[in-house]
Parts: sequence; structure tokens; C-alpha cells
Amino acid sequence: MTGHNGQRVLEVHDLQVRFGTRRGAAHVVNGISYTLDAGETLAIVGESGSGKSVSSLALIGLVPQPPGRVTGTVRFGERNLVTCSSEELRHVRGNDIAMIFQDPMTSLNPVLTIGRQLTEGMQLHLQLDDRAARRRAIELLDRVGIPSPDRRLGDYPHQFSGGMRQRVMIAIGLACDPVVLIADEPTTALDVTTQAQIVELVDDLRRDTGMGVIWITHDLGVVAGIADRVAVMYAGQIVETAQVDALYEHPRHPYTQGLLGSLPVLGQPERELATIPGLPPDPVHLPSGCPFWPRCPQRLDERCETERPQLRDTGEGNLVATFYEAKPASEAVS
Amino acid sequence: MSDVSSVSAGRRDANKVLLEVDDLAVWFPVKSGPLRREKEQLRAVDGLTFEVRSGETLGLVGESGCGKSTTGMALLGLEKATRGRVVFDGREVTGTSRRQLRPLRRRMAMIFQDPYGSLNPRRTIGESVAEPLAIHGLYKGGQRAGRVAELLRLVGLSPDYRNRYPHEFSGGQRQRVGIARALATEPDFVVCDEPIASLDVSIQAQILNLLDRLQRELGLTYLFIAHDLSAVQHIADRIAVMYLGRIVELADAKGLGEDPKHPYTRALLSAVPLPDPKRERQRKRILLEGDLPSPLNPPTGCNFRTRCPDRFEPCPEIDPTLQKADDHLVACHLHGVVGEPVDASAE
Amino acid sequence: MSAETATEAGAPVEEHAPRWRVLLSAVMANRLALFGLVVLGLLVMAAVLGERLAPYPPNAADVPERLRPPSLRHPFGTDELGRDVFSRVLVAARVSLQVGFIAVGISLAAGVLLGLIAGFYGRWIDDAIMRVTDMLFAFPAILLAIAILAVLGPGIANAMIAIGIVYTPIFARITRGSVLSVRERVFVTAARSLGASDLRLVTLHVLPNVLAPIIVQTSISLAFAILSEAALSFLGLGVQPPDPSWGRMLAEGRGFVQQAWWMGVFPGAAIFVTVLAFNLLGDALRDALDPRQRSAIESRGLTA
Repeated sequence: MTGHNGQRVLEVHDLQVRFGTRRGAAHVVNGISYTLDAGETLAIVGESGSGKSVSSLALIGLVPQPPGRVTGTVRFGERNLVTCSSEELRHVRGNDIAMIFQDPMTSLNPVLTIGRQLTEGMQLHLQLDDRAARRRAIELLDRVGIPSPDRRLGDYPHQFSGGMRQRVMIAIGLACDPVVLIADEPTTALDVTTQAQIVELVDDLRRDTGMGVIWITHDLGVVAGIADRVAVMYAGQIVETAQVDALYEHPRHPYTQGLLGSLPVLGQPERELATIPGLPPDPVHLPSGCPFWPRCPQRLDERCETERPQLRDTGEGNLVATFYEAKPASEAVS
Repeated sequence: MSDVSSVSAGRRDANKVLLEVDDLAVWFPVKSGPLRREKEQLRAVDGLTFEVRSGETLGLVGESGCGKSTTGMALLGLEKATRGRVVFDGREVTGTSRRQLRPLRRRMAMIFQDPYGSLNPRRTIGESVAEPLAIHGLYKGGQRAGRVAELLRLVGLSPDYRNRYPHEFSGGQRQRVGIARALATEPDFVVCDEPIASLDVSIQAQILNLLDRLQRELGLTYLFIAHDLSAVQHIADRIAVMYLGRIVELADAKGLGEDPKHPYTRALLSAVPLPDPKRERQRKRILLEGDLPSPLNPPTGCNFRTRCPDRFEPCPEIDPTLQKADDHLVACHLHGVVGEPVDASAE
Repeated sequence: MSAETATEAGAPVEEHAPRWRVLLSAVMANRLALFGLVVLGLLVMAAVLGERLAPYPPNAADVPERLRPPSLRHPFGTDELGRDVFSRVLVAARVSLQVGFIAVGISLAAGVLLGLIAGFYGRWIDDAIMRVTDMLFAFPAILLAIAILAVLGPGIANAMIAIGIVYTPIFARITRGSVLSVRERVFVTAARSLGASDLRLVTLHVLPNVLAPIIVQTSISLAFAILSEAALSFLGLGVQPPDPSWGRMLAEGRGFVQQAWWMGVFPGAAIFVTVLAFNLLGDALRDALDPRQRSAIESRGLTA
């Protein structure tokens, strides 16, 4: 665990995102709250459709409205980003809050040199002249581990490998010394050995710059080594959140347990894989009550089906949104 | 390759070799140069020798671009072999015409990675599952619908959904349809090409368990191609690790995980994330230098040497061949310099 | 069989109406396309009923009544031989539609077949087919049609063949382009891995997945074919006198622009409205068949 200085940089309260669709309103994010401190890594873990990506896009006003509708508060310094004008948001994006995406190929413009794409933000937000921007671009590429950066400034995205492109994306994200870095599955498209490099790189950069990192992923393995806290999302809600050790050692939400239990673990090939039966719910037709009850092995009575459980403290550091905690059962990962 | 038998952990009839691969190579001609006149050879697969025994699961692991998917296609005769032989149950697959290959097709099937792309969006899932039966003229007339229902039930889908279209289903359900289709002709051998890579974690476990159950019930033999070592280790009896078109190490699943011999295997294992914060924080990762070399122009000698942390003098000079080291087969000079000297005139 | 239940994997995620109903409702929802559909319906009615609907026999001359302006008796007026323009426009709808459908039918069949072969087999077959279509493309469409008619001789049947040949390359090209992308889709490889023959691959797996752009092109080509027929008949190469055709009537009206504007304006308007109708329909089909447009909002909402 890392000693971050504890200064709060982001406070999300009751964030909700809905989309109008032809089939009705899709409730994609349903009231999530969390905080992020400087120098801290918060991992948001969930499967596809859990709302993890949309919730982070909503933080910086990247959810198109309409068809989307974002409510709640996202406190960043003096501002509430949900009610900010698009002008203010543009200033925050890329300058104070940077984002890196899963697919570095599509998030880089194929017809511009990476030098151009790197310096663009700096000239916009930092008012650097050409020479200073170029110098800083070289520094940044060097910092993210791209060999002979001065010669590569004139190259186009397709001339880089996947891992190298992700490094370029990270360099672009860092260009204006962001306070918060949102990493949206940045390693999902990469090979394991490259993934390890990128994870390490982002963690190094966090330590050096003291920025807060929100790491969005579907893979509980990837974030175990670098996260300070983990929030598990299901059907647009945070169902469990805890310090990283507590979450992996004694997961209390049945979904978290299922997720951990269904993960094949290297070195334990004989372990029976637990499965969560069924499918995640359709955001247009969310079940009433607890969104997990139709798949829940723990469900005890009709309260689960009628009342939505709120996050509460278990006394061991876990905050869990469930009426009936899963026992520290044998299925739980040791 | 007779010395591999000691590495065996087959579940059924462990001695019977179902599939034999000998020096298989698949090269693709690539036009390059400013006028696209020069022809180069992209060596996707470059000299593989291994065998798959009846009833076992052989895992084929490697990172993107290592040639593992091409290998799977070549085994089924879907990619033309440039060199080498593939023999399935005593019959040659390589160099056989499509017509002659057809009877073999019934006995070999494939499950694909992308559950969204591998089903024809214009055909119902019932039609897709029935397709192999139609092609091979099996279960004629009314029996066919019964067989389709049976197959859907086998993979955990209700037969009532046979008239639905693929877009109505989730990724995991579509993958089940793909599995039902693959099993329709009662094959012996199934190539699973990254069958869980594009699924959600909780669904991955469902599919892994399903494949495991089907293998036990139907006595299937799998070649399980994947990049995810933890999943492969879970389902495979033996694992072959590929790098740049070659097998660098082949061993039983447990041995490979506990005592990797090849530096690449070690790096790969060290990079696999563990869902355990305490161990993760203490782990020492072996970070590989640089990028994967181009398969158009692979390094001489050992093709891993450009990124290898343990390289020494013979690596650029001698091309290592798979040799025995304890119970593993390893292509690395650290375990004795064995191999063919690089022909200086060739390159 | 195991103890696991048949619903282990859960129910389908969503339900969908059949494709044709989705398509129809999309067209109905678009007012312009609805207009196109109505015009097309009226045209088909005119083509089928023709003479029975017309107030006068289309070729009956009535010289004393020549060059009368539109009136209640002759809503579109009469021409230089006293024939009723309205009746002739009505009956000519049959020729136009016939030429349109048959000519486009020829180019559709030939073009799609060539495009499938070129796209699916690639290599030298592709090169050969596509070079020939490139050559055809290099000629202006109407000049090419005239050249073909010069060889075949004038007449309505030959005009259909000529127009059919002229529009074949467009279908070949569109089909080939779509086939090239569909051919690489995994489900085609999957069918191949099951031992499917080429015929099966092409008819069951490739063709149904390249239909959307072809359908759109068909409706647009119908408009062009009708225009071409009009142009050829205008030049005297298509429909022969005394039979009416919009293009011929336009040509005949040209000499009387000063005295009898109605002789040219009404056939011209018929061409305009018909072509517009097919184009509007084509645009609507393009939108309806493009899944990216159809479910843009829905998919955005669901990919969290």
C-alpha cells in the first residue's frame, strides 16, 4: 500500500446516468458515490454492462446528452462537474483530469504525427510555444519509456506497436500534469507481458506525480498489485468497496465472492471454478430491490426482491450493499 | 517425439496419438516495397512438432502474433501448410484436397473466439447448429430437429430458442451455440481458439466448466488455444508455449507452472496477474525488453534472443531445437546447446 | 446429459420483430419514403390497368381536336395528332416500369453474380472481372447505351438489354466490395471448418449478408433506368412510334414548346415524380438497413 498524502481531489455523490432508448429508459449508473485522494489508486471493477465505463465518462462530461441524462454531484475542487458549462469542462478535461482508453489505436488520430497529438494539448492548456512544447513532448515520451523519443515525434500511430501506442496515450494524458488520471481498461487490448509493463508504468507515474488514479477494469487480477481501494460495480451500483487487502481477503458481497471464485488462478489448476448462474440484468428492466437477487446464492427472503440494500459497514473495513452478507465461506479465495 | 510420453497426463487412452504434427510451417507471402513488387514471407508458424493424445487437452499459449491461431487453422486444413505434415488418426490432413478432407471434417471441429462474429447473423441459431448436419447429410428429416434440440440442451440452452437470431443472445449464450454447432457431428477432436477471451469473467468460468464437462461426457480431445495462462492451466493437461511461430517449451500443466525452464515461459508466468494483493506486491516481474520482432524477418538463431534476459554466445549462432530437460521439452541453450547452426549464407 | 437445467445459460437478452417488419415500419415512419411508396403504388396500378383506366385509346388520333390545352375533357391536353396526352402518359407508365424492372433485373442478376465470383474467389478472376467493369465505367452511361443499341438495333427489347448492360458494373462493384468484407468474417470460416462447399458458403452465408447495399442500389438504379429509357426513346432508339413512352412524348413535345407546353411538361413531370419516388425510397431503405443508424441510441445506452 502506498502513503498518499490524503488530500481529497474528487468527490462523487449519488451519480446517476440514464439513457433514453426506444425500449424505455436504460438505468446504466444508479447512484454511486466515492472519493479519490491525491496519490491514491481506486480500482473500479465490473463486468461489461456494469456501468463502470459510463460512470467515468460522466465524470468529465463525455456522456452525450441527450440521449443520456446525468444527475448527482462530482465535486472537483470548487466545481461541480455535472453542472459545469461545456467550456469549463473542456478546460478540466485533458488539463486537470486526463483519460486513457482501452484501444490506443482508435483513440489516436491516424493521420497526425504523435508529436502533433502530444503538443496539441500543451499548447492549448499550457500556452507553450512550439519549441517548449516539443521539448516537453520528448521528455514525456522518454518518461513513458519510448526509446529515442526525439526521432519518434514525427512518426504516425501505425508505426508503433500496441504497447507503445498505449505509452504514447499515457504521455498525452500526462502532458498537462493532471490531478486525476482515469484509466479505462488501458491494458485489456494488450498482451500479458505488455500489460505488466503498462500497469507498472502507471503506478510509477502516480508515485512520481502524486496524481490520483481511477483504474477501471473487469479483471480483479490486474489491479490487485496497485490499487489502494477497490469498488465492485454491478448493474450500475457499487455493491462492495474496501481497502484492497480486505476486499480480496474477506469479500462480503455474494457477487464479489462469485467474481473472485470464477477466476482461474495461476498455480491453482485444481480449484473448482465457481460460476454465477444467469446473466447481468438489462438496464431497461432492472429487477426491483437488490439488482443481484435473481442470480444470488445468498438470497434469503422477499426483502431482497423489494428493498434496495444500501452500502453499510461490516466492521472489517468492507462497505457492502447486501442484507445478508456472504459467509466467509470456503468458496472465498484464500 | 517418443520421449514426450513421459510428460503425458491424458485422461483416456493416454497412449493413443490422435493428432501428429511434424515440422509444420505456414508462411504467408506478403507484398512489400514502394511498388508492392517485392515478395516477403511472413513466417506465422515456423516448424512445429508436437502430438495430441486421445482424450487430453493440449493448451497452446502465446501472445498475439505468435502463430497459435494459424496453427489451429492449419491443423484443420483451413490454412495451407507451407511445409511439414499434420496427421489425424493415421490420415494426412496436409496436402489433401477439400473433397477428400470432408469425411475428416466430421471428426474435427473448431470453436471460435468471437461469439459475435462466428454465427451468421441472418440465420437462426437452430439453423446454425443444424448446418454441419446438413453439410454431412446426417440426421435426415424429422430427426434433425430432435438432434438440434438435444445439442442445445447439452450446452445449457433451451431448445425453445432455436428460432431466435444470434443478436438476441449475450456473448456467453452465443458461445454455447458455437459449441453446440461444433459438437453436432460428434467430433473426436475440437480446436478451441480463444473460446473465452471475449467473454466476461463470470461467463468465462461458465464456459470453461461447460467445456470441461463436455470433455468428460463425450470423451473429447481438445487443443485449447489461449493467451491467458491461468485459464489454460486450469483446463489443460499439457501446455505448449509459442513464441514467434515456434514452440519454446512443452510440459505438463503443473510442471510448466511450477518450474518453467524457458526464459520466455518464465517472463510470461511472472506477468500473469494474481488476484491476491499481498503476493502481487511482493512479486518480481521479469519485464521483457523491446517489442516482438517482425515475423517477416525473425532473428537468426534463437528467435527470442533479442528480448531474452539470459542470452549468451550460442544464441545468435545456433537455432535451438526442442530437447528434454527434466520432464519438459525446451528449446533453449541454457539447457544444453543443441540445434542447428545458423547457415550464414541463408540470410 | 447432466443435471444442469436447460436454462443454465438464461433466456435470450432481447426480442426482436422479424426483419421485414422492422424495415416496413422504418419506411412507414419516414414521410418522404411513404410518398415514394404511394407513387410507386399508383404507377403499378397505371401499368397494370393501363388502357382500361385511360379515358381515350392512347394511339387514337383525332385531328380536329389537335393541340388542345388542358381542359376537363383532356386534363393534360392533346398532341399534334389530337391524341389525349393524359391517356398516353398513363399507358406509358407500363413501358417505363417494364424497362425499369427488366433492365435493372438484368443488371442485378449479372452484376451480383459477377460481384460474388470476383469477391469470393479473388486473384485473377477478380482482376479480370473488375478490369472489364472498369472499362464499362469509363464510358458515360448514355453513350454506352447508344453504342450498344447501334449494334443491336433500336427497339424496346434491345433498349432494356442495353440499359441492363450499362448498369451491371455498378452492381458488380457494390457486391464485390461487400463480399470482400463478409468473406473475412468468422462465421464464413466457421462454415468452412464444417466442410461447407463453396456454393453453400456463397448462397447461405455470403449473399444474405451483402443484400442491404444491393437493395438500396436497386431502387436507385430503377430511377436511373427509367431516365435512360426516356433518354433513349427521346433519341428515337427506344420505344418506336406510335406507342407512347415518356421519353418519346418529351421528344415530340419539343417541337411544340411554343404552341403546346403541355405536350412536354406532363410526360416530363411523370418522369420527375417517378424518379424522385424511387430515390426517396432508396434513401429510406439505406437508412433502415444500416444497423448503425437503426440502433445508434440503443447500443449507446447498453455498452456501459
